[in-house]
Amino acid sequence: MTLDAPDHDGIEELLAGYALQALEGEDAARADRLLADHVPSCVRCRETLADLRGLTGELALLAPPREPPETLLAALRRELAEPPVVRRRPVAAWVTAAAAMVVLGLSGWNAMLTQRVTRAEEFQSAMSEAFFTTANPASQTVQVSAEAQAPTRLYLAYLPDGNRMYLMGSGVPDPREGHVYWVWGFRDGTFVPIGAFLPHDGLVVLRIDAAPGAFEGIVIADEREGRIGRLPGDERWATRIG
Amino acid sequence: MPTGGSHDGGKDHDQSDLFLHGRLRAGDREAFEELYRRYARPAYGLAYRVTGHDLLAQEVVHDAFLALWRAPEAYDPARGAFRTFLLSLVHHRAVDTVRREERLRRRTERALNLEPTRDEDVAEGVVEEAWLAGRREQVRRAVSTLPPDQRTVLEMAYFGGYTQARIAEELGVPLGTVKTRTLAALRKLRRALYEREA
Repeated sequence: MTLDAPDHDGIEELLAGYALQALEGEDAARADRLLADHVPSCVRCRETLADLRGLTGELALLAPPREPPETLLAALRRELAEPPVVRRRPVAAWVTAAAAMVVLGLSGWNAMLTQRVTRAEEFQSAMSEAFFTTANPASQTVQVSAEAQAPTRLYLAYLPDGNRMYLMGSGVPDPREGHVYWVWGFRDGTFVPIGAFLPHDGLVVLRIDAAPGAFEGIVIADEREGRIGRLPGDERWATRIG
Repeated sequence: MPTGGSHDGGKDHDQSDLFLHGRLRAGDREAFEELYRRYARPAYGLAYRVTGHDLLAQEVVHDAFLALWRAPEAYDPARGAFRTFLLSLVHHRAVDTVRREERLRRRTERALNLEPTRDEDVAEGVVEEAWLAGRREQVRRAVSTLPPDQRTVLEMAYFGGYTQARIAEELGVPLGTVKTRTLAALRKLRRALYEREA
């Protein structure tokens, strides 16, 4: 690790609290901003996060082991026996998304995605998952917003062979009144809505349940809430994947 | 790179975990069940210690293992032992659960002790693999070398699920002091548990 950033001791102190999930208020907001802005592109911080994650795993051994009830494994077996979620097959993910669009129709997509607008209570959960993804050295990070669009910073993070992507960012302005941001995946000139969000005090952490290999790129558009067309509306940001 | 596996038998088990994880990525249910057999007990013990509630602990372990099944690629072998990844995931979910369930603040004080009492050290009838017990002892020794004030903030955050601000309030010390003690504790543990293995 290098010592080229004078504030890295302070960042490590913040990340230590974050790894323990012991932050709140302004500290939590600072950590969220760090994880959205700085960590994805900082090798040292990614290594620090990985070490802290390891330690939180080691400390677990201090808890006395307990025998879980047999019903727990039985419940998991039932879950495993259910039809598999789309995973490890990017093309299948695309086909499934397109098929779902046909089956549900645009109104079906509309209802489904409206329900998926990021809520505050889901924010921390998504951030926790994004934390594990960005701490993984195999993860890829793509800048979605252009430098000229600062202070808005949006990144897309994912594992190349994973089945999810995470859209993270800060300084994201609210959409127009009565509107939300929709994320569209595109491939071969066809667009599919894959997520929707509202910034949370300018912050965005959105889990997108789609394989990165399923799309050539994404477009984020300002759309009227409760409506969706066949193509993105007022395009705000876009990037290619991979 | 921390492996957590230089102790007796640990490296062999780490390699075995990697093999099972590779099979898991291919959708092998038997590999999943073997990993469950290995880690369900420490996972459940951790979840129970943090939540203080059987049903919530079951929910935490269930969700963690299901997440592992659905997204095994979230674990990268280059970043350390599979065991630490999984148990870290369990801890995150356990703390999330505690935060949702404020009523659990009434749980017993024993949940706040890093050093368990002798009779709850390993519950009767729980069979534990020797190498895992060895690693547990290493972690205990490392934690025992921490100054009391550093141990206190660590145990309140890790097992108590307290935020640093709450810890500062409870201890009557500045928030900055809690942050400093937390970082110092984790740095010492990192040196004790990882660097000697390099």
